[in-house]
Amino acid sequence: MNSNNGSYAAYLKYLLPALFWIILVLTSRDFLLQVEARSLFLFDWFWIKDFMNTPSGILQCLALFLTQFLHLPWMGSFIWVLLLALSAFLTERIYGISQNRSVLAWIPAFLLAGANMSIGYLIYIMNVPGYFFSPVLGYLFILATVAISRRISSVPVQIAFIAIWGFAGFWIAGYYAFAAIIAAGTDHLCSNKRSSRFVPLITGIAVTVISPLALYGLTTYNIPQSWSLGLPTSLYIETHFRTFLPVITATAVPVILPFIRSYVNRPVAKPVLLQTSVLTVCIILLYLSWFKDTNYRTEISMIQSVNEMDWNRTAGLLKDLNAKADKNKDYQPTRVMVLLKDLALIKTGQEGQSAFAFDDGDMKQKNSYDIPMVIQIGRILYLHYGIPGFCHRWCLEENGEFGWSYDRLKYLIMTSISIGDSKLTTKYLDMMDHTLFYRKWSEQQRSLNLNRELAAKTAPYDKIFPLVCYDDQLMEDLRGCEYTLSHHFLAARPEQATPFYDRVALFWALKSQDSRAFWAKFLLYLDSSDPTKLDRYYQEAAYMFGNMEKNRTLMALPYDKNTKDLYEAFSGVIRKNEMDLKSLKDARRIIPSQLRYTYYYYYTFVRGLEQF
Amino acid sequence: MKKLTAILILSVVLTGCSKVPSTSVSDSSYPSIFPDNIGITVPANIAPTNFLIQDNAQKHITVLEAGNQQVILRGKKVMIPFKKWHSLTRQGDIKVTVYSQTSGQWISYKPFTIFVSPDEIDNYISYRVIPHSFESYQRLSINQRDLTSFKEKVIYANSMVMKDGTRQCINCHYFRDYKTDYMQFHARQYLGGTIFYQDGKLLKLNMNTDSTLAAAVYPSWHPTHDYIAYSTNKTYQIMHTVHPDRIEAFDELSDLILYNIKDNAVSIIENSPDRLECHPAWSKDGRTLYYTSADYPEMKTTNQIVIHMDEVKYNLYRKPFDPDTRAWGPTEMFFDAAAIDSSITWPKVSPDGRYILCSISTHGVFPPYQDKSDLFMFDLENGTHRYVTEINSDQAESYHAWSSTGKWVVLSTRREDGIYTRLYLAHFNSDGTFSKPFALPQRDPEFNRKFLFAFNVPEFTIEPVRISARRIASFIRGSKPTQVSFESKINQ
Repeated sequence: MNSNNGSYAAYLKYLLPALFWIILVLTSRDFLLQVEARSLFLFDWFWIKDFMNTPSGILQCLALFLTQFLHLPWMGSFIWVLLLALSAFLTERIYGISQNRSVLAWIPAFLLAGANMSIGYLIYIMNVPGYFFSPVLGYLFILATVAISRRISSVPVQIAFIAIWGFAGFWIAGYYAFAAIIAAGTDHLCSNKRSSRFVPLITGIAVTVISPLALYGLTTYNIPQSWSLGLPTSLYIETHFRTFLPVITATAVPVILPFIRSYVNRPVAKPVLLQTSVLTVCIILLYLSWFKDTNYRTEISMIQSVNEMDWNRTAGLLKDLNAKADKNKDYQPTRVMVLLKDLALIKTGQEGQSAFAFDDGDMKQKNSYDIPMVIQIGRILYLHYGIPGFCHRWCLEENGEFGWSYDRLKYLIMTSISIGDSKLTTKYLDMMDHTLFYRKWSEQQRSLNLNRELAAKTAPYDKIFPLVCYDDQLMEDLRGCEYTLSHHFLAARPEQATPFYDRVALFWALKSQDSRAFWAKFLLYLDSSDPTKLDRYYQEAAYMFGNMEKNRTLMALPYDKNTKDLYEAFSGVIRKNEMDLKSLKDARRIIPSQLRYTYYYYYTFVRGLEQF
Repeated sequence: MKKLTAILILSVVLTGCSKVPSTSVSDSSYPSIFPDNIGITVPANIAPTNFLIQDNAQKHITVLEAGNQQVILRGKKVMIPFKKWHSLTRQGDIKVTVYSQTSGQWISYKPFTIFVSPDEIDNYISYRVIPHSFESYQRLSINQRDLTSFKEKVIYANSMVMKDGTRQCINCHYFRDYKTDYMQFHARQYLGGTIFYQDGKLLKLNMNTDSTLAAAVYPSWHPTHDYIAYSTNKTYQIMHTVHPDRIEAFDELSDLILYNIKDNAVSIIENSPDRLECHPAWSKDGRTLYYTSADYPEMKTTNQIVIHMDEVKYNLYRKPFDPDTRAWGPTEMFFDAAAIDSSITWPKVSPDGRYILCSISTHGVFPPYQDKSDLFMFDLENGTHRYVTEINSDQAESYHAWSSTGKWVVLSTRREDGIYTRLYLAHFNSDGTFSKPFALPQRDPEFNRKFLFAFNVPEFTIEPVRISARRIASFIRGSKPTQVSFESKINQ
C-alpha cells in the first residue's frame, strides 16, 4: 500500500510539472514571448543598483533576470515550472507533509501558476517589474525564512532574526518578507518548543506593522503601498484584488500549514482518493483561471508576429480565426486585430487585394477595464505608419508607467533611427548592448544608425522612411490612434509624397468610406497603375462610388467582371432583405459569405465602429 | 608568514600598477573623456569631478597634479577619492595626464587642466527628478544635492502620498534668498495646492480665485518684502510627428499675479487680453519686475496657437514697482526679441543686479523642448546683450539659476543626448564671461548616460532643507488648502 502511494506521489512530482511545461510551450509561446518583451534586464551594475534602492527591488531584479529567459519560451517556462516544482517540493519537505498527502504541497504552486496564466489583458498594464517570476521567488523566500528560522534554537536569537529579517527582507522582497516572518512566527508557535511560543509571531506581526512606518520617508512610498510592495499590480486599482488574491492565498499557506501540521503529517486511509480529488480540483481551477479568450490570444500572437516582422503570419492568424468563427454569427474581431491585419497587408502589398477579405468589427475586448488601444499597439502603428514622434512619445509614457522593456527599447531605437536622431539612437543602443538576447539585433541597428542609405533599403525602414515624407505636424491623439492615423493620411497630400505614401493614403481613404477622400487618392493611383490590373477592392470602391454618383467617366474603367457581378448580387440581396438588415450582426447572418468579403459589404454595414 | 608574503605581493602589484609609465609615446590630442572635463573651471569646495576615459585601451593610468600634490589612479573610470581631490583643489589648478596602454605600449595623451576657482559655490542645489515622459509621472520628486559631496536627499516625492489611480504633479520649487526656511512648491491634482514652508510652518494654499486665470505657476520671491510674483498659466502640450524636438508646450492664456503673503491675497499685475505674460523676475532692489510677454491678437484658440506656434514670440518687459505702496508703474519693453525672430523666457537677475540671464529660442514659452534654445544675457550696466556662446551647445539650454554670490550658474541642458536634461555648472568671471561649464559631479562618471530620469528647475541654496520629506508628505495628505483671497487691481 505504502509503496503504491509513494510511487503515485513520485509519479505526480515528475509528471505534473513536465505536463504543465509541455502544455505551456505548445499553447502559450506568444504569450510567454510577450511577457518577456514587456520586461527588461540589463547586465549593468548601475541599472541593478537602482533596483536595490527600493524595497522589494532585489526580488524584482532577480525576477527580471529570470524573465529574460522567456525569450526562449521553452527555457523560460522550464525555469518557471522548475521553480514552481521546487516550491512544492520544499513545502512538502519543510512541513513534513506525508507522502500520501503530498499533493497538498502543490496547492501554492497551482495558485501561483493560475495567477500568471490569468493575467489576460492586464499584460498591457502590469506595472511591477518581474511580475511573472516574483510570486514564486517570493514564495521560496518565505520557505527559506522558515527553514532558517527553524535552525535557530535560541528563542531570543530567533526573535532577533525575525525582527532584523523583517526590516532587511522588506528591502529584498517587500510583501513576501512580511509573509515570511509571520510564517516563521506561526511555525514557532506550533512547534513543540514550550518557551515563549507567541513571542516570535508577535514580533513578526509587530515588525510587519512597524517596518513600513519606520522606513517611511526613506522609501518614498506611501504607507499603505508599502505592505503590498512586490506583489503583482497593474495600472488600475480595480484589478489589484484579482492579481493579488491567488498570490496572497499561496503565501498564506506557509502561515497556515503549521496549524494543521498534525493533520498533514498523518497518513491517510485512502490516499489515492485524496490526492486525486485535490489534484482534480487544482487542475480544474487552473484551467478555469487560464485566460483563454480567442480574440485575446490572437491579438497577442499578432503583436508577437509584428515584432518578429512576420507579416504573413500576422494576417494569417486573423484569417485562420475567421475560418474557425465562420459559423458563429455573432463573431467579430477586435479593432486591434483589424488594424494589425491592415498593417500586415500594407507591408506585404496585399491591402488592395485582401483588406476586406477578413471579418471586420469592433468586438469589445474581454476585460472590464478599458485599456486604450494606444497602450496596446500604439507604438507599432505609429512607427510603421510613419509617425515616429508619436511612437517615441508612447514608448516613453509607458516606460514611465510600467517600467522599461525590451519591446519599448526596440521601438525607441527604431523610432530614433526613423527620425534620424543618431545621438539618441546611440544612447538606446548602448542600453540594448547590456541585454542577453538582443545584442546581435543591437549590432545590426547600430550599423543602420550609421548608414542611413543602408537603413533605407533594410526592413523595417524600407517601408517606414517612405512614409515619413511630409513636413512635420503638431498633433494630438486624444481620440485614439485609429482616428489619428485616418486623419493623418486623409489630410492634404504632402508635396514630397512617395508612391508608397500614396498607396497607404489610398487605403485609408478606402477605409474611410468617404467617396471624396477616395476619389482624390484613387485618381493618383490610376495615374500610376495599369487600369486593367487594378486591385480588387479599389475596383469595387470605384465601381460602387461611380454607380452611386453616376460618374460616367469612372464607370467606363475596365472593371473585372467579378467586380460588376458581385455588385449586382450584393445590390440584389440588399433589396430583398432591406427590412431585416439593421446591423452588422444582421448582415453577418443574412448576407452570403461570398458577398461578405466585398467592399460593398464593408461600406454598407461596417460603420460607426467604436474606436478606443 | 604566508599572510606577510601575500601582503607584500599585493603591495608590489598595486604600487606597480599605480606608477606613471616610465616610457610612453606622446599623443598630441586630448583624451576622449566623459563628461567633458577638459579645461573646466570648478570651485574648490565641489565634489570630485570623476570622469570616464573613452578609448579601447586595456589599461589606464591617470595622473592628477597640483602644486606639490600628485594623485595617481588606475582604471578607465577615474574616480577620485575625496581626501585626495581636496588635497589637489587646495593647491590650485589641476593638471591631468591620461596614459593608456594598448598591446603593451603606453601612450600619454596631451595633458589638460581643471582650473580651480577660489570662488566657492553654494553648498546645495535642489531640482526636480522626473522620468522622461510627457504625461506620466508616477515617480516624481524634488531632491536636494549636496554639491560638496555626492549626497542627495528627497525633499518631497509624489509617491509618498499618491494612491493607486491618482496622479500628483509637483513643480516650481523656489526658495527665498537662497535660504530654506522659506520655500514653496506646487502640488497639482491629487491633494493639490501650493505648499508654503515658512518659519517652521507648512501651509497649503489654493491660489486659484474666481478673478484669476488659474492657480499660480512660475514664482519670483520679492527680495525685501513678503510678496511673490507669479505667472498663472493655462498650459497645453502637443506632439510633433517627426521633428526631433518631439513636443511643444504652450500657454493658451497667461497672466501675472502678485501674492501678498501677509494678507494671503493675490492681485493682478498684468492680464492684458491680447498678451500672454509669463516668467516674472524681480530686480535686486525689488523695485522692478521683469517678465516676458507675447502678442497674440489673432490667436484666441488653442488650434490657432498650434497653427501659428512659430509666430508666438516672447519679448522681455519691465515694470516699476513700489514695494511699500504696491504701486505699479507703466510697462516698458526692455528687449524686443521678436525683432530678432526669437523668444525670450526665464529672465533671472544676477544677485548683484547687473546681469539678466535668459533662455532664448525661436518661439514659444517652453525652451527645454526646443533644441535651438540657448542662454542669452543682458548687461544692465553697459546696456549690451549677447548669446552666451561659451555656455551654449547645439542642444537645448533651458532653465538656469545664479548662485548666491553670483559667481556660479547652474543650467539645465540636453547637450549630452538631446533628450535627458542634465545639470551643468559654470563659473561667472569678473569680465562678464563664463568659463567652460561642467557636468554636476557624480560618483559614477557614467551616471548621466545611464540614469533614466531627467533633472530640471535647479535652484541654489546656501543651506540644506531641514524639514523632512515625511513631514511634508504627512502635511499634504492631512491638510486642506486654504483659499487665498483676491484683491482688485491696486495702485496701477
